[in-house]
Amino acid sequence: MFTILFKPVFHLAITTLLIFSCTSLVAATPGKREYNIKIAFIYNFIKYTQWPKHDQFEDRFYFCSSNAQVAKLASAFFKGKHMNNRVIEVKNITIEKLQGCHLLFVSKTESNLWEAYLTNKHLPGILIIGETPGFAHSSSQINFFLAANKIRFEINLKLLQKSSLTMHSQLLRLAKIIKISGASK
Amino acid sequence: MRVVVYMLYTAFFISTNTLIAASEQFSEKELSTLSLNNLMSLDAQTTSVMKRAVSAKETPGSIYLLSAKKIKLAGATSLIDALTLLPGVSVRNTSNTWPIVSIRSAPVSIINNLLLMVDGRFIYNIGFPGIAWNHLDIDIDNIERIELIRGSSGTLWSSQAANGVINIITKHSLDTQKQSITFAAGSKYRHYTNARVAGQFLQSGSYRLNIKHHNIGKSSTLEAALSDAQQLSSLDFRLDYSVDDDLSFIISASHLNAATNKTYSLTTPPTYTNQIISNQSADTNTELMLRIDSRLTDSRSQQIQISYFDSSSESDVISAQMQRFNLTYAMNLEWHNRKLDWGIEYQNNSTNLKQNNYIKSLISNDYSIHSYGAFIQSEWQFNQGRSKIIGALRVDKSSADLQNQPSLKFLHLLTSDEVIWMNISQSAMQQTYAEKHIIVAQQSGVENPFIPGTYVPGYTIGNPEIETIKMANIELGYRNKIGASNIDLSIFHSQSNNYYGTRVDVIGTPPTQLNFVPVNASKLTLTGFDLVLSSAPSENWELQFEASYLRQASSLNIKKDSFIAYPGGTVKQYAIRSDYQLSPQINSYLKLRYKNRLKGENNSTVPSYYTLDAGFSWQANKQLNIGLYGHNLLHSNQQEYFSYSQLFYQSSKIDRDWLLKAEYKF
Repeated sequence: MFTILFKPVFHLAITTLLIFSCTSLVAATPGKREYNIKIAFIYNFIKYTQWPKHDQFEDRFYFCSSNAQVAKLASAFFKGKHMNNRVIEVKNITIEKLQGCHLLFVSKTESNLWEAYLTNKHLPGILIIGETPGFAHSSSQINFFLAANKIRFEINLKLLQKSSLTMHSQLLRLAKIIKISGASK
Repeated sequence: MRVVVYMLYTAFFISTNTLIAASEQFSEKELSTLSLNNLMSLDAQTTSVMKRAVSAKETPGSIYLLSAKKIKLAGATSLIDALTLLPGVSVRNTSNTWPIVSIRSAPVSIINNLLLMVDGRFIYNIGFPGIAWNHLDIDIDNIERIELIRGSSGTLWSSQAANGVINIITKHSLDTQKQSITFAAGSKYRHYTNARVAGQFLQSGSYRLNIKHHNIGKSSTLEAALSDAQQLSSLDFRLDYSVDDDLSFIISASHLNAATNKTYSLTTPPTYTNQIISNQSADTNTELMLRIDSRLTDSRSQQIQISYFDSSSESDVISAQMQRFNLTYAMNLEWHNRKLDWGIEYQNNSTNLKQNNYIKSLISNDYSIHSYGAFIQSEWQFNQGRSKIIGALRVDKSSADLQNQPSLKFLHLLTSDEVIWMNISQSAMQQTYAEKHIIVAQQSGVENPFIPGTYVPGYTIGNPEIETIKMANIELGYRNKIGASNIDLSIFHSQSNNYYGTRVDVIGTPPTQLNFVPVNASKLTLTGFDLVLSSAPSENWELQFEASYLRQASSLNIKKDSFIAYPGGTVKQYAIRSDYQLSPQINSYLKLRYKNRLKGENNSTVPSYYTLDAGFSWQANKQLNIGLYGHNLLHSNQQEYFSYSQLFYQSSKIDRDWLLKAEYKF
């Protein structure tokens, strides 16, 4: 019985494989688990980054994103968490409403809009983190990417210096370093 | 027994500080407590193909994850060294280069119940049972982790995984970008050199190349004319390229040349007495692999893997060429509270055996077999995610056999730290070309009545009629985290009604020849447990106690004088491991192991023994790490195995050895 069924099942599986292979041309968006891990990464980035002194918002650290899903997950993650005695608050912002933000996360779906806004703009004191290929070459100091289903990040040293932020060597040691725009080491 | 109780007490009750569970996957609630290094080890998507990424705690199977850190602290130089660090895996060395590795079975080298995978690539051959462990020259520093599945929980992957799976995951080449050079020398490794060159290309490509050479000396107790020494040179290359976050490629290639000395006990005409000789084999292995990982949506991913393996072994005793081609496709899907994995596989194995006085084939020297496999696994979560049921089926079809391996698993979270699970399954052990078609000369043990002082010839003769062995398994498990300690217990019972036995065919009266034929003649029951207790008495000290017990009871299904049942017996091993950080730069490692007495068929025994391995490593600066390691420190030499059930390999005593290792990264 199994022998009779085996060949047709095998052929059906091959056909299904080809159909599914074709659908791989459509880009996937990160899921809830991936965003939760990225937010946990960002929590570590905050710990290992030093911001210049601010006159206002001294008691608050603002995590901003224009992606509602990310903002919702981040709100749940950072609830009750502090950074150097400052409460971490999450703001779901719209583009250009960056005032007060210490950290901006730009998701893949909004990267085109933000890239146009951020390129060649000097925004000292804001750590910008992306997740789109090439984003750290033009717009962000840190950019997430996937390597064999594991989350990795790259850091653009030039943009980091321009932003007046300093990062702990442990963070730089784990990152893929982009020394100058367009070339990475 | 008192020693064992003391080990147990020490490992479990001294704890005062929290220890993260031995897991590479964490629940989302635990994410905020994880370091960057731990976060980098997580799978972004739980639908990672080939092996669904789940928390080790929430896996309904007897599993253990050995981290790269634990391997490095133990100073492992080879894969064989790393295997001794896996709880529940029995490693008994028969020589300086040849280990007998078994999981939940008595130690025998001819096995087809243990599946080894490297990066999801199968390391087995339908032609011959057993794994050439000493030819797997993986750079230890490139290993990200080793996943161990004890028992039948890994049958989804193969019909060679009835008793367990060892899955070696190597690091992404982006994570091994430092150039490095390692030198080691000692009493066993006369010299060991390993150089790594790594780099990046385009925007998202990376690679590494390892070049290795080592020379292992012979055991000191062997006679001058005998040897178990080995010289080995290898190249290992891996390239990773990501088109984007959704599509990535891995290409790996390796080539190995080895000159391995083995000691044989050969029965040769005209006297058919056993002669102990050493013979050197010239071995060459070449392997290529391409893997494509594709993420289709956030809840669906797929993978295609193609691999080719070519090996050649030339010696006066055994000469053979083997080729293996493997194509695997797998997909993971996830929706709401359900998960589905399915996959298909094709494999072709070709073998060419050179016949001589010791080994012959019943059929053509050239042997080729096509085999197909398919699996499906579905997971359903309920009770607000606290319980899950997993149903799975694997079907394999080769030239003659069709095997089914169904399983049903259940897991329930009693609390956030306490888990119970159960696995009911049927597993299969597929018979190889060797068991079906090969003739091997061996001593008959019957004196020739016509010529005193000589024996009649004896042969182990393959049986084309031998069937796939089926085993019914039930396994229960319990995991808990109590304060700073972790407990992981599994209890199992397996039964087979068509296990191996031997039919003895006596030719002539009085006998002029004896043939030993493998048959499905035994009823075998396996009962036992595996226990791992881990604890951290302080921030800089980790302890682990391991205990494995197996009772193997066997009886004949066919009540005839000419049949011999598969041997029974008890296998016990206990171990305690300590990792103590003396300072941020200096680490110490210690592992004490006990293995019980092993009884052979001919009333020979290997006594029970303890082994003590210890080492210190010093991180002199960011670039340089120096380590001093000792193995088998309690004895100048000892017998770990006796080749009573081997076809003709002869065991030698294992020496105490030491190793000085220096690694420079830049």
